[in-house]
Amino acid sequence: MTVKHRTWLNVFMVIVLAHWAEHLAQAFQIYVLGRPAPASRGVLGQFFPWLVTSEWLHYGYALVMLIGLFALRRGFIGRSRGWWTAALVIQFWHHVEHLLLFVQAQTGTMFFGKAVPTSVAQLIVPRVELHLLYNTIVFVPMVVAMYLHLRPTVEELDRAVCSCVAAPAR
Amino acid sequence: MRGSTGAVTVQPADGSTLVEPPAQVRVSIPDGRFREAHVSVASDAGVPVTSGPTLTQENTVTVPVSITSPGTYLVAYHLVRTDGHVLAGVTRFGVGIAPSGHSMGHAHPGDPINLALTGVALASVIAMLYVLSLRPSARPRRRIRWRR
Repeated sequence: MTVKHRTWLNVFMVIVLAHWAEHLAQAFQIYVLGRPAPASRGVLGQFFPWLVTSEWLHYGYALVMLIGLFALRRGFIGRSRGWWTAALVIQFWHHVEHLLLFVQAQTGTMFFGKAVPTSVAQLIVPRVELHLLYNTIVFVPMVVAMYLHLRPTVEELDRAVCSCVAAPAR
Repeated sequence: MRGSTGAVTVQPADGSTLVEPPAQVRVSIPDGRFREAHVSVASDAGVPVTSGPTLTQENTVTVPVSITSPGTYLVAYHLVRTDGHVLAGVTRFGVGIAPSGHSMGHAHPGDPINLALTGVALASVIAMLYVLSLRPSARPRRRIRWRR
Protein backbone atom coordinates (compact mmCIF):
# COMPACT_ATOMS: atom_id res chain seq x y z
CA MET A 1 0.00 0.00 0.00
CA THR A 2 2.79 2.42 0.91
CA VAL A 3 4.29 3.38 -2.43
CA LYS A 4 1.31 2.25 -4.47
CA HIS A 5 -0.99 4.80 -2.85
CA ARG A 6 1.33 7.66 -3.66
CA THR A 7 1.81 6.49 -7.25
CA TRP A 8 -1.85 5.80 -7.99
CA LEU A 9 -2.97 8.98 -6.24
CA ASN A 10 -0.63 10.93 -8.52
CA VAL A 11 -1.98 9.13 -11.59
CA PHE A 12 -5.53 9.78 -10.43
CA MET A 13 -4.79 13.48 -9.90
CA VAL A 14 -3.35 13.76 -13.42
CA ILE A 15 -6.57 12.28 -14.84
CA VAL A 16 -8.79 14.52 -12.71
CA LEU A 17 -6.82 17.68 -13.53
CA ALA A 18 -6.70 16.82 -17.25
CA HIS A 19 -10.48 16.47 -17.19
CA TRP A 20 -10.81 19.87 -15.53
CA ALA A 21 -8.35 21.36 -18.02
CA GLU A 22 -10.68 20.30 -20.82
CA HIS A 23 -13.71 21.85 -19.11
CA LEU A 24 -11.87 25.06 -18.33
CA ALA A 25 -10.63 25.24 -21.92
CA GLN A 26 -14.28 25.01 -22.99
CA ALA A 27 -15.22 27.78 -20.56
CA PHE A 28 -12.40 29.93 -21.98
CA GLN A 29 -13.67 29.34 -25.51
CA ILE A 30 -17.22 30.30 -24.50
CA TYR A 31 -16.69 33.21 -22.12
CA VAL A 32 -13.42 34.71 -23.34
CA LEU A 33 -13.30 33.84 -27.03
CA GLY A 34 -17.07 34.27 -27.37
CA ARG A 35 -17.68 31.10 -29.31
CA PRO A 36 -21.12 29.46 -29.31
CA ALA A 37 -21.30 26.59 -26.82
CA PRO A 38 -21.65 23.87 -29.48
CA ALA A 39 -18.44 25.09 -31.14
CA SER A 40 -16.57 25.18 -27.83
CA ARG A 41 -15.33 21.66 -27.46
CA GLY A 42 -12.20 22.07 -25.39
CA VAL A 43 -8.85 20.89 -26.74
CA LEU A 44 -9.43 17.21 -27.58
CA GLY A 45 -12.95 17.98 -28.78
CA GLN A 46 -11.58 20.30 -31.45
CA PHE A 47 -9.83 17.34 -33.05
CA PHE A 48 -12.30 14.63 -32.05
CA PRO A 49 -15.75 16.33 -31.91
CA TRP A 50 -17.52 13.03 -31.26
CA LEU A 51 -15.84 12.88 -27.85
CA VAL A 52 -17.98 15.73 -26.53
CA THR A 53 -21.26 13.92 -27.13
CA SER A 54 -20.01 10.41 -26.40
CA GLU A 55 -21.94 8.81 -23.52
CA TRP A 56 -19.13 6.21 -23.42
CA LEU A 57 -16.65 8.93 -22.54
CA HIS A 58 -18.89 10.60 -19.95
CA TYR A 59 -19.82 7.32 -18.32
CA GLY A 60 -16.23 6.05 -18.52
CA TYR A 61 -14.91 9.10 -16.69
CA ALA A 62 -17.63 8.84 -14.03
CA LEU A 63 -16.65 5.19 -13.52
CA VAL A 64 -12.93 5.98 -13.33
CA MET A 65 -13.69 8.66 -10.73
CA LEU A 66 -15.78 6.26 -8.68
CA ILE A 67 -13.16 3.49 -8.80
CA GLY A 68 -10.34 5.91 -8.00
CA LEU A 69 -12.12 7.48 -5.05
CA PHE A 70 -13.06 4.05 -3.69
CA ALA A 71 -9.69 2.36 -4.23
CA LEU A 72 -7.61 5.22 -2.84
CA ARG A 73 -9.81 5.87 0.20
CA ARG A 74 -7.92 3.40 2.41
CA GLY A 75 -4.84 5.60 2.35
CA PHE A 76 -6.72 8.59 3.75
CA ILE A 77 -6.37 8.65 7.52
CA GLY A 78 -7.84 10.93 10.17
CA ARG A 79 -9.28 14.29 9.15
CA SER A 80 -8.86 13.68 5.43
CA ARG A 81 -10.92 10.46 5.44
CA GLY A 82 -14.25 12.22 5.96
CA TRP A 83 -13.68 14.68 3.10
CA TRP A 84 -12.57 11.93 0.71
CA THR A 85 -15.58 9.84 1.71
CA ALA A 86 -17.87 12.80 1.05
CA ALA A 87 -16.43 13.06 -2.47
CA LEU A 88 -16.93 9.30 -2.91
CA VAL A 89 -20.60 9.44 -1.83
CA ILE A 90 -21.39 12.35 -4.15
CA GLN A 91 -19.53 10.66 -7.01
CA PHE A 92 -21.48 7.47 -6.41
CA TRP A 93 -24.72 9.32 -7.10
CA HIS A 94 -23.14 11.20 -10.02
CA HIS A 95 -22.14 7.83 -11.46
CA VAL A 96 -25.71 6.50 -11.07
CA GLU A 97 -26.94 9.52 -13.02
CA HIS A 98 -24.43 8.82 -15.81
CA LEU A 99 -25.38 5.15 -15.77
CA LEU A 100 -29.00 6.12 -16.39
CA LEU A 101 -27.93 8.31 -19.32
CA PHE A 102 -25.64 5.59 -20.65
CA VAL A 103 -28.34 2.89 -20.55
CA GLN A 104 -30.80 5.15 -22.36
CA ALA A 105 -28.25 6.10 -25.01
CA GLN A 106 -27.24 2.48 -25.63
CA THR A 107 -30.70 0.93 -25.63
CA GLY A 108 -32.55 3.79 -27.30
CA THR A 109 -35.17 3.55 -24.56
CA MET A 110 -35.74 6.94 -22.96
CA PHE A 111 -36.89 7.32 -19.38
CA PHE A 112 -39.30 9.81 -17.78
CA GLY A 113 -41.20 10.21 -21.04
CA LYS A 114 -38.41 12.31 -22.54
CA ALA A 115 -37.21 12.33 -26.13
CA VAL A 116 -33.54 12.21 -25.17
CA PRO A 117 -31.47 10.51 -22.41
CA THR A 118 -32.44 12.14 -19.12
CA SER A 119 -31.22 11.55 -15.58
CA VAL A 120 -33.17 12.02 -12.34
CA ALA A 121 -31.72 15.37 -11.27
CA GLN A 122 -31.96 16.56 -14.87
CA LEU A 123 -35.70 16.74 -14.35
CA ILE A 124 -34.94 19.79 -12.18
CA VAL A 125 -31.59 21.16 -13.37
CA PRO A 126 -30.43 21.41 -17.03
CA ARG A 127 -27.76 18.89 -17.99
CA VAL A 128 -24.81 21.20 -18.54
CA GLU A 129 -25.26 23.07 -15.24
CA LEU A 130 -26.02 19.83 -13.41
CA HIS A 131 -22.83 18.01 -14.36
CA LEU A 132 -20.71 21.09 -13.82
CA LEU A 133 -22.26 21.22 -10.34
CA TYR A 134 -21.62 17.52 -9.75
CA ASN A 135 -17.99 17.74 -10.88
CA THR A 136 -17.43 20.78 -8.66
CA ILE A 137 -19.01 19.40 -5.49
CA VAL A 138 -17.04 16.17 -5.92
CA PHE A 139 -13.79 18.03 -6.51
CA VAL A 140 -13.97 20.55 -3.65
CA PRO A 141 -13.93 17.91 -0.86
CA MET A 142 -11.17 16.12 -2.79
CA VAL A 143 -9.04 19.28 -2.59
CA VAL A 144 -9.63 19.55 1.17
CA ALA A 145 -8.90 15.83 1.62
CA MET A 146 -5.68 16.12 -0.36
CA TYR A 147 -4.61 19.17 1.65
CA LEU A 148 -5.15 17.32 4.93
CA HIS A 149 -3.68 14.08 3.60
CA LEU A 150 -0.46 15.78 2.56
CA ARG A 151 -0.28 17.81 5.78
CA PRO A 152 -0.96 15.22 8.46
CA THR A 153 -0.70 15.71 12.18
CA VAL A 154 1.93 13.63 13.95
CA GLU A 155 -0.84 11.31 15.13
CA GLU A 156 -2.12 10.88 11.60
CA LEU A 157 1.38 10.34 10.31
CA ASP A 158 1.93 7.60 12.86
CA ARG A 159 -1.16 5.83 11.54
CA ALA A 160 -0.30 6.45 7.88
CA VAL A 161 -0.37 3.44 5.61
CA CYS A 162 1.11 5.23 2.62
CA SER A 163 4.22 7.15 1.68
CA CYS A 164 2.45 10.23 0.35
CA VAL A 165 4.20 12.29 3.03
CA ALA A 166 7.78 11.54 3.99
CA ALA A 167 8.25 10.42 7.57
CA PRO A 168 9.71 13.15 9.77
CA ALA A 169 13.20 12.96 11.13
CA ARG A 170 12.98 11.97 14.78
CA MET B 1 -40.23 29.00 -42.89
CA ARG B 2 -37.02 30.94 -43.36
CA GLY B 3 -35.25 33.43 -41.19
CA SER B 4 -32.09 35.37 -41.61
CA THR B 5 -29.54 36.39 -38.99
CA GLY B 6 -27.27 38.80 -40.78
CA ALA B 7 -25.70 36.92 -43.69
CA VAL B 8 -26.91 33.58 -42.36
CA THR B 9 -30.22 31.96 -43.17
CA VAL B 10 -31.68 29.52 -40.67
CA GLN B 11 -34.67 27.25 -41.18
CA PRO B 12 -36.87 27.16 -39.11
CA ALA B 13 -36.65 30.91 -38.76
CA ASP B 14 -35.47 32.60 -35.59
CA GLY B 15 -38.43 33.30 -33.31
CA SER B 16 -40.88 31.20 -35.31
CA THR B 17 -43.53 28.96 -33.79
CA LEU B 18 -44.19 25.66 -35.52
CA VAL B 19 -47.29 23.54 -35.13
CA GLU B 20 -45.44 20.38 -36.17
CA PRO B 21 -41.80 19.59 -35.34
CA PRO B 22 -39.35 19.95 -38.24
CA ALA B 23 -37.51 16.91 -39.59
CA GLN B 24 -34.38 18.94 -40.19
CA VAL B 25 -32.72 22.26 -39.53
CA ARG B 26 -30.83 24.07 -42.29
CA VAL B 27 -28.24 26.80 -41.93
CA SER B 28 -26.90 28.47 -45.03
CA ILE B 29 -25.02 31.50 -46.28
CA PRO B 30 -26.67 32.43 -49.58
CA ASP B 31 -23.80 34.59 -50.79
CA GLY B 32 -20.76 32.47 -50.03
CA ARG B 33 -19.19 29.15 -49.19
CA PHE B 34 -18.08 27.47 -45.98
CA ARG B 35 -14.57 26.51 -45.14
CA GLU B 36 -15.73 25.12 -41.81
CA ALA B 37 -19.20 24.70 -40.32
CA HIS B 38 -20.51 23.53 -36.96
CA VAL B 39 -24.23 23.46 -36.25
CA SER B 40 -25.94 22.09 -33.19
CA VAL B 41 -29.62 21.82 -32.38
CA ALA B 42 -30.75 21.34 -28.80
CA SER B 43 -33.64 21.94 -26.46
CA ASP B 44 -33.50 25.02 -24.25
CA ALA B 45 -32.30 22.65 -21.50
CA GLY B 46 -29.23 21.96 -23.61
CA VAL B 47 -30.22 18.46 -24.69
CA PRO B 48 -29.19 17.72 -28.31
CA VAL B 49 -32.00 16.63 -30.63
CA THR B 50 -29.84 15.70 -33.60
CA SER B 51 -31.01 12.38 -35.05
CA GLY B 52 -28.42 11.60 -37.72
CA PRO B 53 -25.29 12.70 -39.51
CA THR B 54 -25.01 16.32 -40.57
CA LEU B 55 -24.93 16.98 -44.30
CA THR B 56 -22.59 19.79 -45.27
CA GLN B 57 -22.74 21.18 -48.79
CA GLU B 58 -21.06 24.20 -50.32
CA ASN B 59 -23.08 26.79 -48.47
CA THR B 60 -25.68 24.79 -46.56
CA VAL B 61 -25.57 22.61 -43.47
CA THR B 62 -28.52 20.28 -42.96
CA VAL B 63 -29.02 18.69 -39.55
CA PRO B 64 -31.67 15.97 -39.18
CA VAL B 65 -33.53 16.32 -35.90
CA SER B 66 -35.95 14.28 -33.85
CA ILE B 67 -38.25 16.46 -31.76
CA THR B 68 -41.06 14.70 -29.97
CA SER B 69 -42.11 17.19 -27.36
CA PRO B 70 -43.25 20.81 -27.50
CA GLY B 71 -40.81 23.44 -26.30
CA THR B 72 -38.16 25.93 -27.28
CA TYR B 73 -35.27 24.68 -29.40
CA LEU B 74 -31.96 26.37 -30.10
CA VAL B 75 -29.86 26.33 -33.25
CA ALA B 76 -26.24 27.24 -32.58
CA TYR B 77 -23.89 27.76 -35.51
CA HIS B 78 -20.26 28.60 -36.01
CA LEU B 79 -19.36 29.06 -39.64
CA VAL B 80 -16.07 30.01 -41.24
CA ARG B 81 -16.39 31.35 -44.76
CA THR B 82 -13.79 30.65 -47.39
CA ASP B 83 -12.62 34.26 -46.99
CA GLY B 84 -11.93 33.55 -43.30
CA HIS B 85 -14.88 35.54 -41.96
CA VAL B 86 -16.49 33.90 -38.93
CA LEU B 87 -20.25 33.86 -38.50
CA ALA B 88 -21.57 32.61 -35.18
CA GLY B 89 -24.85 32.80 -33.36
CA VAL B 90 -27.84 31.15 -31.79
CA THR B 91 -31.44 31.24 -33.02
CA ARG B 92 -34.56 29.85 -31.41
CA PHE B 93 -37.77 28.35 -32.61
CA GLY B 94 -40.72 26.92 -30.78
CA VAL B 95 -42.62 23.71 -31.39
CA GLY B 96 -46.21 23.95 -30.18
CA ILE B 97 -45.37 27.06 -28.16
CA ALA B 98 -43.78 30.45 -28.77
CA PRO B 99 -40.01 30.27 -28.25
CA SER B 100 -38.76 31.74 -24.98
CA GLY B 101 -35.53 33.61 -24.32
CA HIS B 102 -33.45 35.81 -26.56
CA SER B 103 -31.47 34.84 -29.61
CA MET B 104 -27.89 35.90 -29.96
CA GLY B 105 -26.19 36.97 -33.14
CA HIS B 106 -22.95 36.09 -31.44
CA ALA B 107 -23.35 33.73 -28.53
CA HIS B 108 -22.17 34.60 -25.05
CA PRO B 109 -24.00 32.15 -22.80
CA GLY B 110 -23.01 34.01 -19.66
CA ASP B 111 -25.36 32.16 -17.36
CA PRO B 112 -24.41 33.40 -13.87
CA ILE B 113 -24.74 29.91 -12.37
CA ASN B 114 -22.41 28.48 -15.00
CA LEU B 115 -19.98 31.33 -14.50
CA ALA B 116 -20.04 30.93 -10.71
CA LEU B 117 -19.51 27.17 -10.91
CA THR B 118 -16.72 27.63 -13.41
CA GLY B 119 -15.12 30.15 -11.05
CA VAL B 120 -15.34 27.73 -8.13
CA ALA B 121 -13.91 24.96 -10.31
CA LEU B 122 -11.02 27.15 -11.48
CA ALA B 123 -10.24 28.16 -7.89
CA SER B 124 -10.38 24.51 -6.82
CA VAL B 125 -8.04 23.42 -9.59
CA ILE B 126 -5.56 26.14 -8.60
CA ALA B 127 -5.90 25.04 -4.95
CA MET B 128 -5.29 21.42 -5.91
CA LEU B 129 -2.20 22.35 -7.95
CA TYR B 130 -0.96 24.34 -4.95
CA VAL B 131 -1.59 21.39 -2.61
CA LEU B 132 0.20 18.99 -4.94
CA SER B 133 3.13 21.22 -5.81
CA LEU B 134 3.87 22.30 -2.25
CA ARG B 135 3.95 18.84 -0.78
CA PRO B 136 5.51 19.23 2.68
CA SER B 137 7.53 16.90 4.76
CA ALA B 138 5.94 16.16 8.11
CA ARG B 139 6.89 17.77 11.38
CA PRO B 140 5.35 17.65 14.85
CA ARG B 141 1.94 19.25 15.17
CA ARG B 142 1.08 22.61 16.66
CA ARG B 143 4.02 24.87 16.00
CA ILE B 144 4.17 23.32 12.57
CA ARG B 145 5.96 25.10 9.76
CA TRP B 146 5.63 23.11 6.58
CA ARG B 147 8.48 23.14 4.16
CA ARG B 148 8.49 22.49 0.46
